[in-house]
Amino acid sequence: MSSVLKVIGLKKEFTIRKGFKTLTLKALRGVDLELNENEIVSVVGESGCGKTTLLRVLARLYEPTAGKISLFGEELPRRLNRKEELKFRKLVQMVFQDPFASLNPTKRVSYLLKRPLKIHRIENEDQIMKNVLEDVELTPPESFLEKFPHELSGGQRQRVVFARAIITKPRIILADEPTSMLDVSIKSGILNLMLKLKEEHGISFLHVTHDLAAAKYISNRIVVMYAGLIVEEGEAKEIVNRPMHPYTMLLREAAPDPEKSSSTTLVDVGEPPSLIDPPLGCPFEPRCKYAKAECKEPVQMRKVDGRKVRCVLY
Amino acid sequence: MFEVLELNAGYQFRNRFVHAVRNVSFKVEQDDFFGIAGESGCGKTTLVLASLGLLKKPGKVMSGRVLVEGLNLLALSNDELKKVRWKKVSLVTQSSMNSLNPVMKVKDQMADVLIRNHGFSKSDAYELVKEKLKLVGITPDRMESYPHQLSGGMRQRVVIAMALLLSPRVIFMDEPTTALDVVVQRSILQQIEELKKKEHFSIVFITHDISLLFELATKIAIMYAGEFVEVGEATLVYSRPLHPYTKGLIEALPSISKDLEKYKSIPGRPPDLTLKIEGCPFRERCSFAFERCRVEKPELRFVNGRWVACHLY
Amino acid sequence: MWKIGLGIILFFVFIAVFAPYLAKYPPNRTVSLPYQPPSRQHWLGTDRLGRDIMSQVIHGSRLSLIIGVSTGLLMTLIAATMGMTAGYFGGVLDRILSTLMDIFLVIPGIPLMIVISSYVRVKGPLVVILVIALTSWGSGARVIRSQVLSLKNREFVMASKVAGESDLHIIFFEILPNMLSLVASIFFSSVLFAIIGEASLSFLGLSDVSRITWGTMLYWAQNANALLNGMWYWVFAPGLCIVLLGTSFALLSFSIDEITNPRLRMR
Repeated sequence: MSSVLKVIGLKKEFTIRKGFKTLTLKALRGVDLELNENEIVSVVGESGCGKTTLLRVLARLYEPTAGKISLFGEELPRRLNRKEELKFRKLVQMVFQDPFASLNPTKRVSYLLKRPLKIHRIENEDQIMKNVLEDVELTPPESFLEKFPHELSGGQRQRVVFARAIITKPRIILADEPTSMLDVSIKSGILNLMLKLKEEHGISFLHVTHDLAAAKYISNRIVVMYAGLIVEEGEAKEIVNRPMHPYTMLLREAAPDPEKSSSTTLVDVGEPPSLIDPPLGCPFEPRCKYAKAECKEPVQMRKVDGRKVRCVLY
Repeated sequence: MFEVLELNAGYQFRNRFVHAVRNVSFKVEQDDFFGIAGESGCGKTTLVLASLGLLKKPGKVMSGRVLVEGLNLLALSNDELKKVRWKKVSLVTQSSMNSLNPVMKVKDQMADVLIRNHGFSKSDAYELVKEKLKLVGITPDRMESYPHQLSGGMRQRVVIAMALLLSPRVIFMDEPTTALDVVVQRSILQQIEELKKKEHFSIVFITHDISLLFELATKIAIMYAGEFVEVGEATLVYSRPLHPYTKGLIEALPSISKDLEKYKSIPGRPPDLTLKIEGCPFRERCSFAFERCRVEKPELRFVNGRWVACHLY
Repeated sequence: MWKIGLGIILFFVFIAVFAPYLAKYPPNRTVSLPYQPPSRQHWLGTDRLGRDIMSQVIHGSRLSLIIGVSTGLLMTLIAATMGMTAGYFGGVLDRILSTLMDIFLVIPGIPLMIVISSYVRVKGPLVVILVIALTSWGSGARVIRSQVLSLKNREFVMASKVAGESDLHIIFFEILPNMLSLVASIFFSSVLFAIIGEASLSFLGLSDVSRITWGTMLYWAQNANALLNGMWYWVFAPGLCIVLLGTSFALLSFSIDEITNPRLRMR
């Protein structure tokens, strides 16, 4: 499996002003990640863990503070000229969480789909637009071209968002919680769409979500993030069925499960640490029932059984 | 204890009426954890607001009764309603944690309700506030905080404590944890369950997160297009769903413990609630629909230990 | 509400366009004895030069409208350019432009206009337009800047960036269409401000008082002590027109949202 996207030591810091003080928020504190061909990797974590920041840095909406990003084996320089940027944007697309907010409410679907074609000088617009609408199962395509976003349902809007994302034939799609604002009966439709696009169009997905069950369904691998760091990484079903890191165990416990016969008690009323002055050692240490003295020192990723865990227990 | 009888409610706009709640009836008994599950637009929030007499213009209750210990809530005047609310039945909503008064300390806001509407003395009020906040796991030192100093999870706990102030018999909760992270959500739900056991109140829990309800609720009602389509004991409905919509929902839910190969979504959209619906409201999306479904509306029938509104039975 | 506003504006536009046909006399010619009271021939009497006041009111609508609208346009243009540039690009550019905006906001508008007008040798409608527009664009710019700041972080703007759109395209074709109602509202408020501003400047004699606008009419009326001499109509007529026209733009400014938002249009 060849590497499509590789990230080494990615760091992102934001400066925020509180009153007269300037503080640094360390959103990403050294992330190593690899995305391969024909693969869906889900990045799982709660709010504030850095998963959305990770996607936005990869989408070049934010500039990284440190670290290397490589696309198809070639390292990307910090600055890209217009031509290089367009080449990047053709290959790497992004899908956002709120289907209504990601479509300009004053534009029709035809305009939204035409724009990427115009920017990248792709011809045969009408046919391509129709094809792409069919790919996302919005049929008949003609009936959707002239609609405004508010005339479509949530699920239909999200499909338009995907249609726009695949219209330039990208190799990578960065998906930021694409189903969290959709109804239950529509969610799996979009998840299935992502699987279909992976199989039939050879697109790799980096899928950010807080829904562990959805991640388990569509991913090849799952990456668990906490407080700006990756704490566990491995094959999707393995991670959910046999979590190794205590935080992953917590996530698994906390997820709703109709199959559960009795409610096991979670003894945890903790919160993630502040990223303004995060602790040097393991970020989960204050809440961890297995915490030891050595957890107060920085903990590296270890390789265990085909999995990567950032925990002294292994 | 709390009974809704044939409630019809909706929203009146200039030239159309959105009939959001269509002839809904249900009963909440002692120690029930009654879950109402449905997707956006099914009418569940309208149902809650209408049942508690909180529906504001352009919302309107067309017909029906809501009985709380014999009294019809919908027939009470505003003053009488105020006395019943909070005392016999209370409400926690999704936006509650953001509706806390930002310029008042948490304990002051809570005590305020008691002092002004229920004639408590200052000292009694603060005593009660302290007691209830302790119940939800907020230590006395946090009582002095302003809402913005507390995390989302803590703010929601404050709101739950407020709902518990006068020890009501029934508490309605409309998407109380939807805006919270999964771990916080779990700890709050655990707290709610413990409190329920200790204080003996019933819960009516409304959410679109059906897996949560299947896990926690004792009785569950599946709502679609303003009506209850399946009502029964939660474990039974989950293990042997009868209504095609219920079946569809369960098949659409990626499960965290099972290893199913494929999940299916339900094609189509819910019907337009401004129109009169002929026959079964789900028929256009139903893979089992037949001729009768188009002309005759299925009524709720008791089948296999639960109520279902479907012509297949 | 906006129908009333639009109606009044169209009424005045009609009068302005057809002024020569509607007015009985040319506004600048002495046609009778000065200071005549209202009569069948002169509905509003005559001024100090024996010119028909009614005709002046009718003709005055032309310049008052032209100056008001032009100034409004110029003010809105400056405010939009400054506001959008500052809001979208941020950083140092934003700091510079914001400071500029703040300076112009802080300095009181009308006194500044008075001071500038008193110094400028040339007088005329163009000067009035420039003076008002160049001193009063501040508040509109600030409001536009805030709106751009909030729209900039909306997901559809990020989606455009990710699609590879150029900054210019994003500003004009993604952000601006979502601000149309705001810009229109600012335009109408600016026109209102300009109408009052022109009237004020003219009243103080700081514009070219040989031209006929409602404002200059007030200047001459004041000059002749119209109110003391029982010629209240000389003040009332142009005054009422100013108020009506101003109010009509205010009404439009209030109701603009319904017109430009396609979502609300559907309802």
